[in-house]
Amino acid sequence: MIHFEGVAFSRGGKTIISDATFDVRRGEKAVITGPSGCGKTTLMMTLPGLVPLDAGRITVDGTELQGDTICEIRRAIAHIGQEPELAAETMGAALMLPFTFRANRDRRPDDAEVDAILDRLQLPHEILEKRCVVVSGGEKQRLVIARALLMKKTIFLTDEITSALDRENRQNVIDLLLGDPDLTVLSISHNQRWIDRCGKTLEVEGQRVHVRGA
Amino acid sequence: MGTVDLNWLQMAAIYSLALVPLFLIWRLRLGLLTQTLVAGVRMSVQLLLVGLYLNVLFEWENVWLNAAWMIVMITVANFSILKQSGLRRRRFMPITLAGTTVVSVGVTMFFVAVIIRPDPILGARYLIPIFGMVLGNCIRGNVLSLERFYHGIRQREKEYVTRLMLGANPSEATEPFMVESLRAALGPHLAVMATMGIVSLPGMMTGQILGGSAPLIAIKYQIAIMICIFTVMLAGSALNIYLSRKVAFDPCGTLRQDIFVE
Repeated sequence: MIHFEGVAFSRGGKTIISDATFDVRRGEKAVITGPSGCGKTTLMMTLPGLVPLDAGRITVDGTELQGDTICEIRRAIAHIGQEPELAAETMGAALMLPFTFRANRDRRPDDAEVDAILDRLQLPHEILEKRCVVVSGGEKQRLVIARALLMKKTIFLTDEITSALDRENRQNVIDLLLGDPDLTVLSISHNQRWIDRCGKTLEVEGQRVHVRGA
Repeated sequence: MGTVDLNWLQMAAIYSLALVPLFLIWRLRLGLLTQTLVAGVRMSVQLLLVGLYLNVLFEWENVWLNAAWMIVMITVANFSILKQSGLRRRRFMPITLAGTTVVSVGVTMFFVAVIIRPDPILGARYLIPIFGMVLGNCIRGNVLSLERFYHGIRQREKEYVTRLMLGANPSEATEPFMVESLRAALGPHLAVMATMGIVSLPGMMTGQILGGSAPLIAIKYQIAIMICIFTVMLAGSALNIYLSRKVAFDPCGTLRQDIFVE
């Protein structure tokens, strides 16, 4: 379970959130909403410890986020951003990048798993041979989703991940992530279908987070 | 056969050659006139002072005096490294000072005290010029590598954070930036090494030949110093990046923004 308690943080001396208290239970799907620039992405990035807290505490499955637990918590989380960052030359290298790191070497997927996830996201297998600069934004987005799923994480942080996808692929991704009862998803989205499928809404308003639903 | 001395008139004549680039700078409006004049005056005064000081070092032949001069050289070198790489002295100085000292003094001592073994073994005539060459190249390598490493991560922060979020530890997350920065530091030196003897006759070798050494002896020294420089550039740059990461990133692995001089 993800637990935020009295979390406050600032950027450049300006308070962004002064009190965020909420839970996201195991298997729950939560969406953060609010106007542009209100701090949704920054709020999400506190969970993997990429934004320092001014006050409050965050726990993931009972482990409190601290200097010495950050790596452990990050290992439990898959993050997919709005603009896909592939961090590799080719699509194949990008897909396999996490498994070159010591923490994930024992999770390296076999060919059948790779084929299955590419099929599920309607990505042609030949795409793995292509250089990242020549593929479309939608294909890149689906590849980073495939990469995150191959890592077999149970907590997903997603930030507007359907914005570059067509209607069919958007629905496919919604079904894949929000339809899986084993995945805990903390997301940001302006897409109404996505919001409707999430059981909990965390609305950012005036430096506070209001919990609606569930 | 000694080196032909240059009298003051000859020096004045060589300075007059500098009027050509000064004229071009002015005529082509390069905006470098003041900078060039300041650099030229600084070079002349600094070399004159160091020449006088080296005379004293050679005459006194005192190990402690040599060591004191090496400390001055290392300190000035580190000011230069951090200034040119755009990083804050307050955070980095103790680290680069340690890294630069270990590598440049270690390599110089290996070359002078283990390989050459002059008499006296730590005499200024060998120790100071060789240390100067090693340290000078250590500066070049460190400026390029530190600048590329930290500014590279700053510019491509998303890529760095993505690697962290994909499970990379700090060392794995910074690896591509480290590789790029070290390649940038070594590239120019490798190019010089590959063309040495054909395109360029290096300074140390030329100096020794002008000083009356046999060309083969000068070549042996040149090969040795090139290996020392290559070692110090790579080891110094890698060590300084490795050590400085501890102060440049917060416990969350995020690059601190206050390390940069804005």
